[in-house]
Amino acid sequence: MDKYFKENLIKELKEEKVSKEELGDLLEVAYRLSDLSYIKRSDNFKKAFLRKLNRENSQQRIFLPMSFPFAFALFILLIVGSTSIVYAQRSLPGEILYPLKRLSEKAVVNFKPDYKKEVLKRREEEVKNLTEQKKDPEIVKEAEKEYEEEFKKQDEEIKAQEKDDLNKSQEKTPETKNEDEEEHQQELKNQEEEVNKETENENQDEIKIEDSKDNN
Amino acid sequence: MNLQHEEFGKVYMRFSDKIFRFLYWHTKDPYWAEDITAEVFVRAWKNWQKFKPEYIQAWLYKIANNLLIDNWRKRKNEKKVSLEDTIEKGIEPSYDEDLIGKITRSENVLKLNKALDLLSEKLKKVAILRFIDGLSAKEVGQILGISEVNVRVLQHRALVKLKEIFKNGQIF
Repeated sequence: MDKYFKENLIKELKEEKVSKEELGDLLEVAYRLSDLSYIKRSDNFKKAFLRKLNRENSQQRIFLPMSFPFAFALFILLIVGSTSIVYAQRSLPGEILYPLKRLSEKAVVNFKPDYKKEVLKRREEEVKNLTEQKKDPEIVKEAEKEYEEEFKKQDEEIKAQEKDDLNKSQEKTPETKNEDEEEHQQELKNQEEEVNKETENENQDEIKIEDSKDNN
Repeated sequence: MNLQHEEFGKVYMRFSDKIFRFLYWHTKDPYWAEDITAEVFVRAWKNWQKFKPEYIQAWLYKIANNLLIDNWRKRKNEKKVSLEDTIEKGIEPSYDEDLIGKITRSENVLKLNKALDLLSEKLKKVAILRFIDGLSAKEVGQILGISEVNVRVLQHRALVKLKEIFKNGQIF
């Protein structure tokens, strides 16, 4: 019990009208109780608890600070990636970004098959640019070969498609056949009616002529 | 370890023994007292942002008092929920076995435990907070939600009662 505490306690007990005699006894009891303040856990024990708590707190926070740099890195990658793709479109065979250009073309063709025509134009353009820029003849030769292969490939695809379309048009289904037959029959009927009508008209005309002759 | 955690560490080093003593004298079980002490500071850490520095001690004791009441209720159903909670929260229970050994072997501690048990709950709390933990009458009033004047009256009664107990040899 420190001095300050003792002085305050004495003052407080006096305010309760405690006699001097009793004061001594009560202070003795208070001293006996205050001796129990020796009950303290060791500093090492307390520090160990704080370390555990800090670890628990760190684990809870690990996700947030760790994920931010990761997300930021991904964002930068996306920006750099998309910028690279844009610049890659101007690249020519033999340049660093050229493979990226070809990759992006394949990706577009997957979603939009008509883009193949554009791809062919690009191959042609590449050969033209390489020749104008007087690039390595081997690269130019390779580019020409690629263009020819692309051209041939697309040409074959077009022919295959045309043949396919033709076969489809010639191919009759039973329903289609019946419909055609009916149409044909109707057409014959119409023609017959027309012929009959014409014959009737001719007959009428003949009768009229005969009548006029008789009248004369 | 960030600044907040450093501040919290200082608070823990300063007040955790007082909280432990308060809880031990009520539970008479050093292991249980340590479990609840850990729980008090886990909760305190979680609400650290809401703390007002001038009320830290009172706040810690209030948490301890509330947890003590909760644990008494749950112990009736033989559930050590606070221990389970602290394990779930990732703080493994640990104990200062040296201290526990000293406490359990001390005759003085044993006698005083018996003496305090003979007091009413309110007198017991005042005696523990005022004389064992060394809090001022004002601080005790804040924790127990009573006036400073009331604390002085109660402390007097507690001392008188304990004097009789020791004098009459009721704890020997």
